[in-house]
Amino acid sequence: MRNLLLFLARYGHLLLFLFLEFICFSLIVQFNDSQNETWINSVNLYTGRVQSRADRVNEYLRLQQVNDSLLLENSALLSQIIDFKVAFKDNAYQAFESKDTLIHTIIPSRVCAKTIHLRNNFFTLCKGENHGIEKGMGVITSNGLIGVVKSVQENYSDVILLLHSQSRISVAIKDKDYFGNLVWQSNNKKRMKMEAVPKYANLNIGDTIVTSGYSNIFPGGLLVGKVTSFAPESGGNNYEIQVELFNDIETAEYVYVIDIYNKKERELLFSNQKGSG
Amino acid sequence: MADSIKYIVRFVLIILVQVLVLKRIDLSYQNFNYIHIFIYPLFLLLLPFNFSKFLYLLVGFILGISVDIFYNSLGVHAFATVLVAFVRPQVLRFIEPREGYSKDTEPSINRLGFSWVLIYTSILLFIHHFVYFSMEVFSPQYPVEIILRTIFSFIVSLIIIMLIHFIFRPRS
Repeated sequence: MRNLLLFLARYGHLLLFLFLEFICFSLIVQFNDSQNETWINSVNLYTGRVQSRADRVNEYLRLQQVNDSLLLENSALLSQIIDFKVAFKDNAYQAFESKDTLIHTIIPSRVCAKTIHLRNNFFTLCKGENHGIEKGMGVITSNGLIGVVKSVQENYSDVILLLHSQSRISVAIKDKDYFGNLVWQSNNKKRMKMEAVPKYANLNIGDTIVTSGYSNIFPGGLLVGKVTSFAPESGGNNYEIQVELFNDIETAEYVYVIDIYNKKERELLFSNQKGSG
Repeated sequence: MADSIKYIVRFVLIILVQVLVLKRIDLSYQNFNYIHIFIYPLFLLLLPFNFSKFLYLLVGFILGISVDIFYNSLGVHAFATVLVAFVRPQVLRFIEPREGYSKDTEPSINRLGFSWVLIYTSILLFIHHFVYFSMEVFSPQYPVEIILRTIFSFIVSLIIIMLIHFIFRPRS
């Protein structure tokens, strides 16, 4: 206390001086038009730069949040696109859409852990049962397939990637009526093989591969990859088609889980209830 | 008590002279518009040396604001006067005569001599004018403007203030 008083006695007039000058300055820039204008302009000039730097730092700190919100937005848009395609029969392979709109719930999720260099590769997603993820749901990114949910815990779920020896995805060649299974047999993380396309099929290099919609995992018409080469299977009736994926599974950080299986089930239950009641 | 009445009367008089007379004097000639006479800092300069620092700052503020109200420039004069009030002790120390100040001296020609008063007034008045015009122009883009106004106004104001010193010097 005594020190404080001493301090005030010694420097009090300095503080008062600063205080009064501050008041004067505020008065000047507040009540004088030309000074006010100059002040605002120059303040903007000098603080603008600082502000923008601070904003950039701030943005960086908020990046995670921004990512999450973008992810939600993306998932909403994605479901709209899929619904739109369904509504306009854009995909030729609608196996089960009886109605014109098929409302997908798309759950965005971050990838918590991944193995990518093994023969059988998995993603672990940071969302699970609590967020609505169930076994058997399809997992995609905005430009391609990722895999299928294999098992679900409360807050995590495991995904069998396309890059898995047991992975079989029903795909089709866009605008042609051939379909087959997509399997992974190479070690290249962008190359897949499409099986079971008959030899008489009329194929071209560069044909687009999409999901067929013949399974309850993925809706039809999702882009998968393109044909890079094809040759008749030795001693078989089918072509062996090399497919290059559009997306890079290795670098996927954010994925979307498509709720379609669940939806079907619920629909079934609903109609049963209706029928009985 | 008598002193405070004296100061208050002086305060009112000086402000009246400033805002009723000097404010109306227009010494501009064509493009030459650099002379604005300010004598009201004289009130601050005339206060005794042993005046409390706090009070002195407050008086400076009130003086400036009073002038500002009449000049429609709230804060500009006050900024300059508060600064003058703040630097006066330093200036006094800087130009202290060899024999020092007697305790409650007011600066007057009779006591401290013409040249001392001239120097004292010049330093503080120049600071005042420079700060005032800087705050008035309020932009470092026009340094020439600020300096010309400061110098011409300073010369005229200084002459008038020295005249006042002569006219109202206490008889001894």
